[in-house]
Amino acid sequence: MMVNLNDIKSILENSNLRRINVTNLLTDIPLVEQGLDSLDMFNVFLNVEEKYNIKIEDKDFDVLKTINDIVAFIDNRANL
Amino acid sequence: MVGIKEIASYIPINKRSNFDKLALFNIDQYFIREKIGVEEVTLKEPDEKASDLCIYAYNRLLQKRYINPEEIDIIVVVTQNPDFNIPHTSAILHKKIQPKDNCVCFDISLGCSGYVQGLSIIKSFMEAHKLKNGLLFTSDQYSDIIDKSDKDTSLIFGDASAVTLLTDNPDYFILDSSFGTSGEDFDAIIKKDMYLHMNGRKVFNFVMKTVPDDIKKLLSNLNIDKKDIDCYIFHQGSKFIIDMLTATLELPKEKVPFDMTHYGNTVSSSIPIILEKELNKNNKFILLSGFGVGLSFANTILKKREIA
Repeated sequence: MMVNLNDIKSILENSNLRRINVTNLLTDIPLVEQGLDSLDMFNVFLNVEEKYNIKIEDKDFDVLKTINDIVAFIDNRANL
Repeated sequence: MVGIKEIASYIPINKRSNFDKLALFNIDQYFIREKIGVEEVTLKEPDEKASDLCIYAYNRLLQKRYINPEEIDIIVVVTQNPDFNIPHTSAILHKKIQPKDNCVCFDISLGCSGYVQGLSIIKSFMEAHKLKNGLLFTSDQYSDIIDKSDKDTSLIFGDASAVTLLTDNPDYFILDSSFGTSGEDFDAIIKKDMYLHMNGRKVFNFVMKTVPDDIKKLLSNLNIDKKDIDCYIFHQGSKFIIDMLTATLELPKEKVPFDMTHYGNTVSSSIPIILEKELNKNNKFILLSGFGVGLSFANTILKKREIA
């Protein structure tokens, strides 16, 4: 399974991010530096877990900072 | 059938503003107002115990309704911060309230799901033993166990208490209830080394993965359409969790009270504090949903008694 940036942006669109314009989000800049807070990230990760049936551990938070990180993480899990 | 007759709550006057902590926790006013939803948390006096807060709520109940202590058959306290580990706090209330000697008293060790589970327990106990009048207290003063430098807990929890009078001549019947626990996550909210620790993400995931589906199932089992519920009272964990549940269940916002801005998450008292205000409104069906420590959840539906 390969995911692309649009798949993740679609998840972000459906994550009730009230202060964020998802189309303007850059893929290589940490999401928290673009206005998402810790609670937004909880919701994004839950939606990723449910859509791709994967588990994101708390320790994975440190490596899942950007949209690119999330895409790579899902691809990596899908290929295990 | 046993149900709810009256509720009274107690909220301390003393408060601590969360806006004083913006720099300490590197957060902004939007996060306080729109995500946490708590601008200030209530604080009891340092030497006040769970039973003291219970009595303050009981005194408010006496102002609303005449109660003869001799007619109280059962006293139940939901708390995880009892006056002592031994004895149970309800025994201390037995001394302070002075009901009859054969009034049964016990505590229930539950957190945010405790009120809904407590309602089911006391209703079942009263009906099984044909008791007429019962008091269900909730009192969890978390200020004793909060580390003020902990962002995950110090912005959220406030002190309060509530008492619910249950009788065999109620204004609201307690219909079916449903429950759940994820012992796998028992340590997601835990008191360890004197202080409360909370893994907010684990709590959020548990709630979003269990509560909406369970509510749908409960409504379906009772043949009640979600549109027929006049008021959905969720445990006031944070504004974020209430907003997420409201969106996931596609509920109209006006049916979902949000009321923790000026006192915080009061654990097992959060639902009765709101329910007290809703009892006198024209609500035929009220859904209660508690979730948290355990991790656990409990949902139930109340139905207003129709006067012939």
